[in-house]
Amino acid sequence: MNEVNTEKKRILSVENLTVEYLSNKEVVRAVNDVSFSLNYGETIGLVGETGAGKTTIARSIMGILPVPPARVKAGQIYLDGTELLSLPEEEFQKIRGKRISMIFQDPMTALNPIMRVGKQISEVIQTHEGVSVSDADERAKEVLKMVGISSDRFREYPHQFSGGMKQRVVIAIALACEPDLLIADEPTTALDVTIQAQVLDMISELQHKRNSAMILITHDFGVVAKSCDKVGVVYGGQIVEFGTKAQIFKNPLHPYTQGLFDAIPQLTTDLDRLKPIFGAPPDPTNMPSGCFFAARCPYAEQACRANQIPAYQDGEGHICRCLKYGSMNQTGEQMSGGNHGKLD
Amino acid sequence: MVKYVIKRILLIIPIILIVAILIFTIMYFTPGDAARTILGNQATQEQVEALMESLGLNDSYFKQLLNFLDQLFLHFDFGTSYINGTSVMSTIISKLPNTLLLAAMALAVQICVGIPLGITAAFHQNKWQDILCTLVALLGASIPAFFVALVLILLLSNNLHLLPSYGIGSWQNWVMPFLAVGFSGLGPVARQTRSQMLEVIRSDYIVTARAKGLSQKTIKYKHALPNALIPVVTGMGNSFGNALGGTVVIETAFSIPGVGLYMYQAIGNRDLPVIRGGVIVISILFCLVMLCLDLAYAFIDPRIKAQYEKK
Repeated sequence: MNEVNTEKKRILSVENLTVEYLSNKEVVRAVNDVSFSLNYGETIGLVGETGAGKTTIARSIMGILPVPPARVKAGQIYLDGTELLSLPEEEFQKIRGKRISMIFQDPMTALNPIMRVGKQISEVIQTHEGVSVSDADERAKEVLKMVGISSDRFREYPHQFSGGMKQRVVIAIALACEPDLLIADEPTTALDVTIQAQVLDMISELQHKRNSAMILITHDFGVVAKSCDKVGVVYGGQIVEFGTKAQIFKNPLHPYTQGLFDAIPQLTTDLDRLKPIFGAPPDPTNMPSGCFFAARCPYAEQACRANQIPAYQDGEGHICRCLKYGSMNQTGEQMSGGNHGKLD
Repeated sequence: MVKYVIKRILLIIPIILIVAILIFTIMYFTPGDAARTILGNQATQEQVEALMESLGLNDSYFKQLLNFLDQLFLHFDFGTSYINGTSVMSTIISKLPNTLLLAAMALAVQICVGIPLGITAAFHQNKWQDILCTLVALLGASIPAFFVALVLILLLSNNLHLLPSYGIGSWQNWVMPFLAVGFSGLGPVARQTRSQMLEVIRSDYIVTARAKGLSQKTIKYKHALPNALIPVVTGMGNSFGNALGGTVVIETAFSIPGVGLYMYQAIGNRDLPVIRGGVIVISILFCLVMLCLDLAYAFIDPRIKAQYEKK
């Protein structure tokens, strides 16, 4: 593959994605008008609190939302120009595991407990590559070696593996068919700090080999700093700020992002107490009509609570959903602010 | 694994010892006079006394118990029937195939009908298939086997003259017993399969399977079903036990010459060696079936297998 050309080629764009969960006649607004796009070879980090909607975004792209109760209310997801959400299930199955794959959060439960580890890997190869069982097994052994597990362990079961090893297997399953887009949903959250870095390095290395794109979901800015090119800060199912890693880390615009950075304790200063963001995230069954962060925001004004906040973009593509930056140009390009800013 | 199996087989011995002591004690203290029953009302008191002496029924509880255990464990002998003097052991062995056939059929119905019913219900949650399954399960659990047997006889033999109501001459004789014995065990298996399936289908590794791009069919039958069946298999041991117990009723209702009917008649006649023999044979069978199921459990769940291998 020509690396210069693929560098800037777009692989994924998510437009105005809105996902709801219906439970007991209550509507949980999990994802609200999320738009972002991603090029080959790029890594985008989605950062946010637990329950912010990060995993729902990931599962929408994978097409593995539990329907019902979940429902994609609006939006499009394009993979290399193909709209995924309107794709028939059989067509989508050919993409899942082959062109897009996902690394799951909890390695302890993500593997089938009564199936040999090797088979769980070779199964995905066999499904997508149209090879014989023995060829698939051979390739699965290669993939096992690639994630640092001896191929002798091909016939073992998940309970014979440690947590870190299981996560390697989960990663092996995701990488088995060399996907163009990898979604890693908190791949290191369940792991020991000592092996977190190892696993992240391994993922990035394998990603760069293939020039794949990656969506890395995390709530750890350390992980973002280590692995990502671009960052989306997710709050209340919305991307409230989006920019390059440098933009977000050096010049966080949104008060929520600033709050997150302030909450990270600095080793260089003496600190008696941590600096939390006061308050709690909005109730997703009863979202405020204005800015979702207004209730916790130190700068909130009357205008913030009135209407949905559009996404503003500066000259360098740094996007922020906050009225403080109303002087920046409104955008319809990357983050679909202006046209969709005023939601019903 | 072999070690584990041998250990489990040896464990059957103390279990049978306890069962033997229990059944002996219960029968000893149950009122009723075996000698009088055998001889009938015309017999004189002297004749009854003499028979009791010869049967050893006048000995103390402990002497009788020790005699019984001695015969059972050292000579593998249940004694002879009070009524016709035949060997209990050989009679039971000759009647056992009929009973086993009934119990095995009950199990087969549970596996071949109960499990698919549960799966269908789970995949069509809250639709008519699910309601049908729940209904069948409810009926199966609440209608006793003997009632099903009587209704079947009334309907298919008496009114429609489709099937013979007793005996074991041809395959037609077996249809109603199978229906009766199978129906009552169906419910619990179907219900458990359904609930396990619903639970498994929500688990993380099913999401992983979906993310692999597998077809719905592969996900359901290759990933979800084996996991859902693990507890169902365990529950099946109890079902088989119930089916074995249920054969007493079914054999009686359809006059099938099996261990159950043999025991039923023996209870009426106070034929103690037969009752004890029947109970002990059924207990041994139950232990063996439980062992087989535990091994099947290890076969489908590698985690359990690993545990056995450690032991």
